[in-house]
Amino acid sequence: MLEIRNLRKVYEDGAVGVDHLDLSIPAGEIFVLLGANGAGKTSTIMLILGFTEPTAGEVLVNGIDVQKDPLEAKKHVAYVSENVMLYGNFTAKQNLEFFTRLSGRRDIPEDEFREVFRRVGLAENAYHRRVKGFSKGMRQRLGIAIAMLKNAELIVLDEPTSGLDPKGGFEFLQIVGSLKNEGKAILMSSHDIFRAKALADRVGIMSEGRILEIIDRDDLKDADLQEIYLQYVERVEAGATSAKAD
Amino acid sequence: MLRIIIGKEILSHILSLRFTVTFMLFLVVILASFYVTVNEHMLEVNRFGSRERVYAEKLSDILKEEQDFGTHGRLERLFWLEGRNSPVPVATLAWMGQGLQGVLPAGINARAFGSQNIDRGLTRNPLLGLLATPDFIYVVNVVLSLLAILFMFDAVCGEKETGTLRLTLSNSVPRHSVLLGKWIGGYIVLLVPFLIATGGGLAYAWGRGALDPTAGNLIRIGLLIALACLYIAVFFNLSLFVSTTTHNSATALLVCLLLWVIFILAIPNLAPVTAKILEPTPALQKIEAEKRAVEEEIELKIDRLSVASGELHYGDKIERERERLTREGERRQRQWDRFYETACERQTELAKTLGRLSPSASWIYAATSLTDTGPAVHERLRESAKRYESAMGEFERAFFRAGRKPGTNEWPEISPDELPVLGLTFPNVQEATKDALNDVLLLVIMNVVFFMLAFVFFLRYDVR
Repeated sequence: MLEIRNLRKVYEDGAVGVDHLDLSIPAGEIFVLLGANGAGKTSTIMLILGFTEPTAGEVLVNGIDVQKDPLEAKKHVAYVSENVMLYGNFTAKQNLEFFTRLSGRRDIPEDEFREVFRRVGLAENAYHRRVKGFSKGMRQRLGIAIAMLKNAELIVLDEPTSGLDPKGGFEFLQIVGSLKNEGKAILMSSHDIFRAKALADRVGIMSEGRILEIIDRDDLKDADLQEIYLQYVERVEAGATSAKAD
Repeated sequence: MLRIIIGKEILSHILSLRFTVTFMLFLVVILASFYVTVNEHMLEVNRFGSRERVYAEKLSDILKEEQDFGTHGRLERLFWLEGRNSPVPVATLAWMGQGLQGVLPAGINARAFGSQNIDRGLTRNPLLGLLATPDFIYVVNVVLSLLAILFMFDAVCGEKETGTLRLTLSNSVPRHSVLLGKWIGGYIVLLVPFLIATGGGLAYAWGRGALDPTAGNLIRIGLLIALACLYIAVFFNLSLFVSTTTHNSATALLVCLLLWVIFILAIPNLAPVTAKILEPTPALQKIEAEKRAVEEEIELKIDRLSVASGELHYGDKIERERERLTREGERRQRQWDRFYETACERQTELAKTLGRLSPSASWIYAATSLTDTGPAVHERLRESAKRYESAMGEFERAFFRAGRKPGTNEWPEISPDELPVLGLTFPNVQEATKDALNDVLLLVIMNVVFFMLAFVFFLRYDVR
């Protein structure tokens, strides 16, 4: 579903956002990009969504090159950001309708909206409420509802549980898990080790734009992910310190 | 796709506080403006009628004098002492744009040897000259342009800040559709309350009798409203462009307000002053002094001519020479007049050209052309006054050439209808439109340039 080949992004100021990244996520898999702030997780997502141009390499979504045909590629991607901000003056229903129609789906029956609304755990009475009164957790749920209604094969989640309370985070990840069961390929960036371990089929530890190690689900069970992650972070920090000293 | 975005934009604006405030502001400001200017116009029309009556009565008094000459003489009062007064008519659409109406004289007095303006006098409220009249043209120029900016300054950068732009563009939506959708949606939402309020104002003007619904007037009003829409679009495009070059709405607002001050307040007001410095005109007193010098020189030449002939001589030859010298003097005096007029015209043209760096000046020039209250009417009045003065002189010469009544010592009666009148005519719709055309084209060009800039910048806009 998602193929990333030798992807590299160097920004105008010389900073390397993504460094020779290779990644493949098939349908029905949750891949978690784990990394500290500035590791390159969001840069990777921006490249997948075609928001920035890669310096080298390519991103294929459902076999479509994002660079060459971004509009066609975006039909197969749904995106949920770290802090879903919708149109505050619109009701939840109006936001759902707008973004769903924007994704190319028309004439969706009201029942389907309500069903998705219920599935993401939003209360019935919130359906006609203005979104500006929603908590962050509610907005995140609405964001995932929009992604679900798009019915895209690939769902990209950029630190979606950041700032959510434990219960909210847990419920959110349950929804993500159900999407995997529907055969969606899911790429999620996070720095939440525990949720990554609980949810992911594979975890890629990312630092300085590179995936340093990919841990499979089978290995994840026994792995002390926190230990592994901290080792990498420390190694990177040590590298940075010695480079500075040189 | 475009329709979806337009629909979203319209709904988004309608649900915002900004729209409610704008709607209320339009209703209050535009309706208040029409109320004030329509009533002022009706007063001005009544004043014109009063002046016409007073001037006619005065002329009738003069023509009824029993004597022909002397300070109470009919012909002396008519041709040399008092002359005939003609009121300056009020433009029929002056209530939509006062323009230069307030600075035109109340009437023109013409005698056999010249004309002068009849001032509105010291009875006029001086504050009317000091403060701008809040007519339709002013409201569009200041209020509407500002609202257009407030509507669009955060169209792109505001959505980037909130994150909705990223979510929108994560879908299969071409960027040009997003930009165009924003433009069209926002424009419709701004125009609808404007048109409703303007429609209300026009209905009031019609009800009060200020709007004479002739085809010409209706076409002019239609063109004026279309022009207002074009003018608003300039500020829409300008703020959209600013929005695509900034990444937060506070900066965009600041830049937009700065540009608004430059375009609305600075350039149009500084242009005439700058033109005055760059293209100065000589003092009128200096021109008068030059003309007097010519007159004295000619008189001296005529005196010398008489002396050179050895005696006071009234023969045909010397009379012809005297006439030639007089004509030469008049020609040279006209040259001085022309020199002054040309200098004034050059300064005016330069001021207009400099002012056109701002859409505001183009709007005012074009709009006042359509309401007949712009510089073109000022020019027409000057020409009419010249013709009026000249016609009065012609009439006097023809009258005395015709001589007394046959077989009597009396001069013929003069009917008021025989006497020349000011004869100021306003341009017709075609002429007014032609006058406005350059400025309309400028507004179109500004629209295209700003939108293209917004388009190019948005295609490269970093939505991260």
